[in-house]
Amino acid sequence: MEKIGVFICTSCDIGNRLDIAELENAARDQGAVAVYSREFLCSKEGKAFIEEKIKENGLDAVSICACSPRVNYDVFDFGNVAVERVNLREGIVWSRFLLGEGGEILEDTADYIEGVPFKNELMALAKDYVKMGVAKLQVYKLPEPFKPEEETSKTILVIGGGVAGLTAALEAANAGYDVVLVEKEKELGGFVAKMKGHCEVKHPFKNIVPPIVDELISQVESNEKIKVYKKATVASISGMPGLFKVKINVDGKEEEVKIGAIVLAAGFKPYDASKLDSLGYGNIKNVVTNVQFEEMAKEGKFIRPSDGAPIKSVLFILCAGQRDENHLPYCSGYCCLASLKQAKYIREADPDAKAFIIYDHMRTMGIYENFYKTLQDDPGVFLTKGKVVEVSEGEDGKVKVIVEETLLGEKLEINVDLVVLAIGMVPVTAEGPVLNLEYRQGPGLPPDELELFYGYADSNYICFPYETRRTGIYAAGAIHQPMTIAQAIEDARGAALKAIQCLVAIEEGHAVHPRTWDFAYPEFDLKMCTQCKRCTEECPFGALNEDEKGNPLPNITRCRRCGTCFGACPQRIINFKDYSIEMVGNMIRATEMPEQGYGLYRLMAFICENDALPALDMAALQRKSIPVTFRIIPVRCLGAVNVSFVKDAMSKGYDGILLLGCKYGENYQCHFIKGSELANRRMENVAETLQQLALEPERVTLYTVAIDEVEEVIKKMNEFNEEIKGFEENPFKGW
Amino acid sequence: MANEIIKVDVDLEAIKEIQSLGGDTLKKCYQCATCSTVCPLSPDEAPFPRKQMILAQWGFKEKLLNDPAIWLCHQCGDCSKYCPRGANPGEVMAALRLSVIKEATPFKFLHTFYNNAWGFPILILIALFFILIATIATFGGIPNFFDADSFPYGGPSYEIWFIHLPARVLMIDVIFLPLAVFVIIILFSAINRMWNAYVETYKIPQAYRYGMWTILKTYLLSAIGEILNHNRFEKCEANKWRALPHKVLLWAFILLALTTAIVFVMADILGFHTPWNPLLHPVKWLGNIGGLMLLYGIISIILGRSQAEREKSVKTSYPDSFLVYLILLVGLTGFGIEIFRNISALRSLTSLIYIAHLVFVFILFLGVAYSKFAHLAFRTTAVVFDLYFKDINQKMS
Amino acid sequence: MKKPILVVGGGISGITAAVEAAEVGAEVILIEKEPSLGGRVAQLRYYFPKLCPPNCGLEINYRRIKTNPRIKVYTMTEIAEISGEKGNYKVKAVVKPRYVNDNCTACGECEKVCEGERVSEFDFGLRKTKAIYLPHPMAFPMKYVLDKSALAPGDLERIMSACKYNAIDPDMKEETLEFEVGAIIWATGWKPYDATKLDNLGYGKYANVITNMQMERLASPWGPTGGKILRPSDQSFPKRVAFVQCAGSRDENHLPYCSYICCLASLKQSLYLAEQDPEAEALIFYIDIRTPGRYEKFLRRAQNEARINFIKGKVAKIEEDPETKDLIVTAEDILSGKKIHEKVNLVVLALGMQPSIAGINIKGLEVDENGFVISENGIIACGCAKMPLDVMTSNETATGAALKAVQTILRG
Repeated sequence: MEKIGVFICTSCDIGNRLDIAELENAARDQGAVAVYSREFLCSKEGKAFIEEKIKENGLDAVSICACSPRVNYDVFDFGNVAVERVNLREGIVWSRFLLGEGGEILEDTADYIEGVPFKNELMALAKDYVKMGVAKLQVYKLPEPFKPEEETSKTILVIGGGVAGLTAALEAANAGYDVVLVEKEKELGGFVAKMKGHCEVKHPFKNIVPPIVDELISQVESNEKIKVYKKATVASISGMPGLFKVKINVDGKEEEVKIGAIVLAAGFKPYDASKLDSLGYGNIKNVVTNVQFEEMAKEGKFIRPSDGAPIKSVLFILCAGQRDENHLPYCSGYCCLASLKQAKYIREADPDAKAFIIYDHMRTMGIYENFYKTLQDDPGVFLTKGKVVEVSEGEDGKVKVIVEETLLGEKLEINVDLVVLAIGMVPVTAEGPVLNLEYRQGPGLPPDELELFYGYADSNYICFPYETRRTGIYAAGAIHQPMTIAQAIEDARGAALKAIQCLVAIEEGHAVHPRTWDFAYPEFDLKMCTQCKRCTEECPFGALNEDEKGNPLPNITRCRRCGTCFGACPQRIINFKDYSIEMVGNMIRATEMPEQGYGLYRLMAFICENDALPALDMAALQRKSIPVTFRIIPVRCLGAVNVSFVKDAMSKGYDGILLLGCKYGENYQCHFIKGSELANRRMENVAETLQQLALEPERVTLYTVAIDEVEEVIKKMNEFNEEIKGFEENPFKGW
Repeated sequence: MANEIIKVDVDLEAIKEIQSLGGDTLKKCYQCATCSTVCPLSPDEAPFPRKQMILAQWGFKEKLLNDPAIWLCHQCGDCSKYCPRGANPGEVMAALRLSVIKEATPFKFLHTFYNNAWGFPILILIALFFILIATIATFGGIPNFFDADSFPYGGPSYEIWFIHLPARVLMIDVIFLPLAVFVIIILFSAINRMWNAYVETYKIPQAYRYGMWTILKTYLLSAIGEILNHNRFEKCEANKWRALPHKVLLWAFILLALTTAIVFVMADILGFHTPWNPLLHPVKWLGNIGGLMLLYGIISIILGRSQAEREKSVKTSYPDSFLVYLILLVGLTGFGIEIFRNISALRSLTSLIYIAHLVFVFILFLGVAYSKFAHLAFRTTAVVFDLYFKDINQKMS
Repeated sequence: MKKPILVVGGGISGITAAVEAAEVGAEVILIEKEPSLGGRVAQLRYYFPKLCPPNCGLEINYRRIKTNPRIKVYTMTEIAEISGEKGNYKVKAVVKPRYVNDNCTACGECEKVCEGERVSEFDFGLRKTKAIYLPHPMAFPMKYVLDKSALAPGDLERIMSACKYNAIDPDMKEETLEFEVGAIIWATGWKPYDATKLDNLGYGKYANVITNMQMERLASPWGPTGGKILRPSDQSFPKRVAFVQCAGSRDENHLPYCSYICCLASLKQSLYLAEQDPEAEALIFYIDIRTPGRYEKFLRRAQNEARINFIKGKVAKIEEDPETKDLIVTAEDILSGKKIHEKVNLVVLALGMQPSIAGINIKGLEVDENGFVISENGIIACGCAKMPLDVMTSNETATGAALKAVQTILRG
């Protein structure tokens, strides 16, 4: 930016603690063309004042030196004028204090060290901030929306024609979008179509109703916006959201369709019951699965597989091969409901029949308690918590089941005509890629992610249930999470919305969640690329493909703007218009570094703006003190910290560098999956570099914090401050 | 947890029977055990009624027959009040008691008559049958039922050995002495079977299986003490109100039994024959006090119940109301005789009300074995066993 | 797109529905009755199963709101009247006076000089705030609120002179807003059931019987105890804590349905205890442990990382030891068939959720006997206003609701 204006707010203690005139000069020294200070900048008058001065000086960029960028977003918005927020309030005057022995706040005029009043350090810090603000804008470019050359498609591909897929297709079509629905079977309806009935999907949630898919199927098949492919599978998906090329294999021959976004609703398979021989399956004819029993019920033939004798008694074993490390470690969430329902089938078929249900925990969640209540109230249904310890052939074709730890306080032997194993769901993503993506990182969703959720295409973000690591692809139904039919319907609507939202984002040219406001995107200067492949390997979202030489091939609409590639690139050839190597370098260079032997250290902190920055704002709000030695540069993610930042800071003479990011590991909180983890790994190379420079590797440290760990952040910053005091001054000062 | 394996052989009919006897909500129970916890009477070692609920849900009739717990329940109603599923354990326990009575006694058809509304007229006919036979026999033909001096205060007198008996006294002896014997035999065998079953279910070691007399003299007295004071009953929360009327009622029956005994001795044996002056005769006082207590007790129970029903802490099934109203009728007709006899205008109707009284007393007497009234004997047995069990538990540990 | 979408309720479901709809291009009006967005989740210390702070996700959502000009947020606002039908509704909403205008910079000078205090309902009465207060450190909008009724004599003068931005406006009046909207998303969420109605569990009678939501506040680093779990009677750490599951839930006398989250919440809170003292013991009295789907993993985690003693049997009796203020909880340990009486330092009632609008009759809004919204057509319900749900599922329903709303305004 050419004409940069600087506006310094004097309110909220800024004017009381800082020497505004000095700050104005600092701004000018850094090259600001217009510098003003004024109280209460966020007021209407304040905003008007800024707008007036922008016009007056024809400014194309302004640095607002006031409060945290987290507040007054909307206020400091001047259309096409670039805005930088310099955090003087939370960043300095509310969070940098000289503390006495008892932790009480002392006067700024008091000595920080012998002969140096605290005020000096405070001003040095403030000046650095003001200068960094200007320096940033000097290399800042206004982002422009990404516009693909090719025309984008607004068609939504729905994989799977079960209740979730049908719903997603219908809902998307009802919102005005074209839909392509791919179903591998020769008929639509998926699993639910094979059922006799199920718990109703609306209030009062207590009756058994015939499968609702029939209605959905007819609506889908009569909807002209939906093109249905039966006996079809997705052969391959290439390209990127808005520009997907999808090859569909229909009965052997391939068709290609252009697709904008994808709803993955391929559903589940029942768990392989042959692994449940311990419960008699396979060895005893009259032991079947709940799936087989549902088929019996649908045909209305309740006869023993062994000899065709009528079934007078059924025993349901719940959690069969579930909640069990040797089988499915999770709970499929539907079996309790299904077993209650199936008990009803046999009772209705024969008023003298008996149904025994052996459960561990009856899980009729939430409103489904109504269903439990209704179906248990039947003289012929016998429920107990219990452990099934033996299933064996009994007399005259019956199956003998021994149950321990029952609520009757007895060990029971129950002889029944049929034993039904309530087996669980296995998402198809646990068994194959399904999507067949032509992505550099593989055909399916990332295996390490699937692992976290037992193969489900689930999200690790409780707040954001549709966040898969493949942009533009949203899972719904029993492939997303184990769920009931009613939930699958809701879920499918949500996934359809996310798919539509992705198309809107592409149209408007900004990123999708979580940086939906972000119009900038990574730009690659491939002339200097050494084909090291770090970017293509490390991108958490598989946005980058590779050409045969190993050069990265960006797919911008797959990109979530986390900057991991930027952080990874040793050649520094990946940059954003509003976030670049040069920009951060310029900011670091803009700060003032005292001469050798000044005795007071200077520390640089790169902190994640998602969790660490808000945490520091909270600290400031409570007037908690962090060391005045720290210069803080917020980054979009620690993954977007390039090693060059560290080098620049070190060669500038910073005595220590702290990286504050989000928690990583199984329950990672990093909004870009691996950012902080990768940054941590990169620290190893950094350590080497430091050693080459004969500097202690501890001078560069990474901590992770959660957004509410205010005390911890402060503690860690103080600890780091103390630790660095243990080292010599950085010898590169003043070079 | 029991070691031996129980073979499940569910009898749907057994479950439906419990449901029909007032336990219709049985299957609503989902085994949270709120009932066992709020029950002021349920002991820590063998809490009820949670376990009895699931045993009943599964139709484990045998186990329930042999379980004293169902008698230790006084139907306070706390369980039903707090039950989160509306399964009314209190009422289910009552239903279980009825089905136990049925199981424990012979001539099951009588039990059916007692616990179904349509059975009441039949019971009346049965009573009338015996009474008329006895009347014809003792009065030497059919007396004039509209003349008190013909019946009951007429008819021939009998000299048996040194005892001088008017017809009506002989008639009553002829009816009620055999009836009493019948009831006592039935109850005795039932109680005997019940006791042995308890001993088995609770696996009492041989060393502690005392003979009947030891049991009686060691535990029966304290049990009776307890029962007379109603200490258990008074622990009730939800239906505290029931303790007093029930206690009064119990005492009323004792007084009336006492009166009857005295009358039997004085009249039937010593020959001081009634009618005696209701106002001057001390035995009459005793009887009248008993009668008044009976009326007070039963009426406050009827009122209390209807109140409690409104608060949903009690549900009244037919067998419940049958018993309370039967007792009410006995009381009313009892006083009726006295009043009618002494008011000249009504005197001619005395014999009818007299017959009615005999009929209701007959049904009540027989009901000691077949109606809810049987708890008199069975609960006492259970309380005795409870004391015995607690005691030997201490001894053993 | 034509008419805007009205989202009623600014909790996690409402926020999600609002941003998701706005990010497909719809104009959205989001109203919340409290002075800050965030609803119930803002009161939680952690989400299960990740044990991550809800404010993390709220922060992103607030940023999505702040950077999206299509969303208008009104706090301290409630629906007064709804007329019209699907496609075009006329809505009257009442905005309660905040007595603090947009000038507020949250500098906090007013709070310093204010003497009057008020009980904080955000902390479920576990502490007091000044009469002028910030709803909580991450409040959105980041503006103070004045509770005039709590002012001490002279306070008004003091706080008004302390405020350099004349942000305090004691004459602010209640105002009525009128909107014409194409669709309404109902996301009014839930409130904890009134624990005093559980007369056998001693809440309100005994100091150390608290609710699970109060436990969240005690564990929250910004809560009344700065995140140290201390029991009310003597501010000591409870080494032995009983969790009473289904307190009010699955109960015909109270809430006939299962509240979905209470089992998981108690497991989570057992981990809070373990975090503060590995020796701390949790007794969880349950009917069924309900950890569906992959929450099963969380159950195992809790079993491994915390000292939890699971007892099958509902607590139906709690007594207090008047000396120590400890509590004796009674239940039948069903699996052993014996009645037990456990002495604990603290009892946490795993209190069920009740729809916020239970008992309130809103014209045009179809609800079931418990107050859950069941309208099939027209007003679109999501989250716990619709049925008891966890956060993840609530957000799925909220995202789905956004689509239904978008469809409506596209047509209408």
